[in-house]
Amino acid sequence: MISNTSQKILDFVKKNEGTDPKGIVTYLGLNASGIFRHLKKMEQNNFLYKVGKPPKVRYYSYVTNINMESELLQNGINWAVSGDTRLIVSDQLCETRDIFQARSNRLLNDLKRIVKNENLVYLIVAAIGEIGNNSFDHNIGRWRDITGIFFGLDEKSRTIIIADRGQGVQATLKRVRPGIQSDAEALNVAFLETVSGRDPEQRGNGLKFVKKIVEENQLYLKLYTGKAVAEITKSEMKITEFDTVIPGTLTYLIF
Amino acid sequence: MRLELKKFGTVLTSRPSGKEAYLAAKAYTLPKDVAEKIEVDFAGVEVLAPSWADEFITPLLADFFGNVTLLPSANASVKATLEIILKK
Repeated sequence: MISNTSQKILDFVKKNEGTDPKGIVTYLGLNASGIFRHLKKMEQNNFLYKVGKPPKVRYYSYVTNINMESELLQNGINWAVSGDTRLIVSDQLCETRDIFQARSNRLLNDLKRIVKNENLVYLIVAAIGEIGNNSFDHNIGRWRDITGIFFGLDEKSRTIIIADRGQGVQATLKRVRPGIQSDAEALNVAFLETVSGRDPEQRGNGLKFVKKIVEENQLYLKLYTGKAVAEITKSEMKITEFDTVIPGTLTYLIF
Repeated sequence: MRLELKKFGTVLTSRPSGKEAYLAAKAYTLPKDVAEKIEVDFAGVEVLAPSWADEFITPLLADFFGNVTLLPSANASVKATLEIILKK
């Protein structure tokens, strides 16, 4: 059960992810110490969490409406939203491509243990390789705050998660497609056209390859960027709006 | 000559490693005569992704135009990758 004031705070934070306490106090027009009591309680109950130390504190709502089965996914999504390093453990962060490569090799061995079909394992690792390397290819030298990617496998829910605090798909493609107006449009281009933010280099096959593997092998994939999400199943790709902004990208694949 | 890709690794996924592998192959492994026939052998490769292949296979096919044979592979990632990079 959440109190009326707490609900108002939560609604405000959801609309203003990363707000500072002053913004909340000004919006509600109530006594600051009372609001801080609510904030503390809401943190304890996982409604929201704060990033930073006074005087630079930012509040985020805890994203819980995606896949409740995987705590790793919850933490990955919330890390992608806020960059809060407390949400992840150090061996989930691949700061460099070499680390990602080494952990991809480990993923290969882990998947061989879990999945009986070896060819499917090879395809999954190839797809994950494309997604993770995309993050490095397009964000090197321009990460928002944290260098590298979040990379994790949740064996129980058979979910692999990759996220970055980079520039996101729209900003990456806008250099070569200035007419792109939204995150949803950018995702559509990224999955369906052979185009790359690093034109004129011969690139742009990665996400088409990922889509093909997901569709042909009855996998399930979601890629979030900005305010859009692409959902790919064996029969279709749907691109919709998402109510929380993911500044870089977050992808999860269920096998 | 037969070019064994497993000598460059069994998980071939990133662009920088594909690029580096091709530069090394040009320096030490590939024939200097571009008219020489090359057979690319995928045996032993577990994972091949388009990023790596785009930096290795694509320039190899261009540099030794008409003289490269990609040997058949039963590996699904090799097949899917070749299908997508050769379609361009």
